[in-house]
Amino acid sequence: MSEERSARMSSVVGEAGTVLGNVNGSGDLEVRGRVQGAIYLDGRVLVTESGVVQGGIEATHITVQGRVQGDLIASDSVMVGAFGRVEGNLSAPRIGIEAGARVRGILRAGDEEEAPSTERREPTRTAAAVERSAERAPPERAPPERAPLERAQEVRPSVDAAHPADKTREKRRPRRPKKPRPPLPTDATQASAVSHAAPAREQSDDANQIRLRPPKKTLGQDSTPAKRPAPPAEAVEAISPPAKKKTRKRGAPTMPTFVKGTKGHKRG
Amino acid sequence: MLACGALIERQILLADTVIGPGLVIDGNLKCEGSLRVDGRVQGRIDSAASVELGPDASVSSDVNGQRVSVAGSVAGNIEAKDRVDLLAGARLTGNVRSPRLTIADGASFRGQVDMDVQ
Repeated sequence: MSEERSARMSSVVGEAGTVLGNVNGSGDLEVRGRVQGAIYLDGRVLVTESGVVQGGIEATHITVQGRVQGDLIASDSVMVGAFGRVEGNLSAPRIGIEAGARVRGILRAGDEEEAPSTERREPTRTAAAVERSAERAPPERAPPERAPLERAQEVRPSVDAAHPADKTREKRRPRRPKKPRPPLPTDATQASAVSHAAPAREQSDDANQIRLRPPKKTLGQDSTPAKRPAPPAEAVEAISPPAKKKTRKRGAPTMPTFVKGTKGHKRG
Repeated sequence: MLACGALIERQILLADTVIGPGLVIDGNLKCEGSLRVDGRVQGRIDSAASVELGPDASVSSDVNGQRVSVAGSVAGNIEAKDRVDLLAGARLTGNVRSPRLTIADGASFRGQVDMDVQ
């Protein structure tokens, strides 16, 4: 008796069974029949070869041998068997897909939200994230913290070094540099302009001096090591955007007042 | 009693579809085979075979089946082609429509009974 019980899960939707609606709760669920709705379960979910789920599944462990049309989100793992068919995104710390399985969707393996178990991976991930952010949109993400900037400095040379290593891929070569290169000269020129302009304003305006202090400090810190010419340029590249932004932000508040004024004129 | 318990146990194991304790279904449940519910179902239950509602089961809508045995709580009408058994501890608020009906000692029932079925 106990063997039979252990073989079956605590909940089973039989081959001839159909659930029209969402399934919530805790425990294990075996779907041999049909579920037309989402499954949110604090336990394991097994979709057998005869099972069909038309909806997303969220559970600790998901095994799909049948068909699922929906996203699979597992806190432990998602396994898609050889006869499994999934039309949806998979996201779980561990994802297994057997040969023969059909999966159409985006896979997200590795834990993102569970911080305690991922302490070891954090530095590499943050470095990678910084790398991405630096490549894609330096002005947006670079300003807030200085620590990431240092990481970016560490990461960047390796990235630049990696490009010449890809000599075999000459077709891609012109594409890749295009993204990082245009910002480099512009930022460098702007940064140099800022660095040259900063002392002049320092002498002239106290107000400007106060405003310029935060970026100036960072410039001073990064530029002090005169032995390294390259890192400051990169640092400047990363730091110069906030200067742009701040000027924009300062300019921004004047806009609404101007608009209000125009409104007033219209009304008048 | 022992024989009865063994019978119930066997039925649990043989049930085609089982909704375990702790499981909640926000919708209807349709089944060609037998059905055993120990969780909650917030919708209709339709089965062509027997329907068993365990002591912890709670159904908040109608139940249709060949044979329906209730040990949990049901808030809805029960219709069975063969028979309806309200076991001890069952709580039913709704009408029963079935050619046969048994109400065990300890079962609570509030509703109308229609046994004039073909």
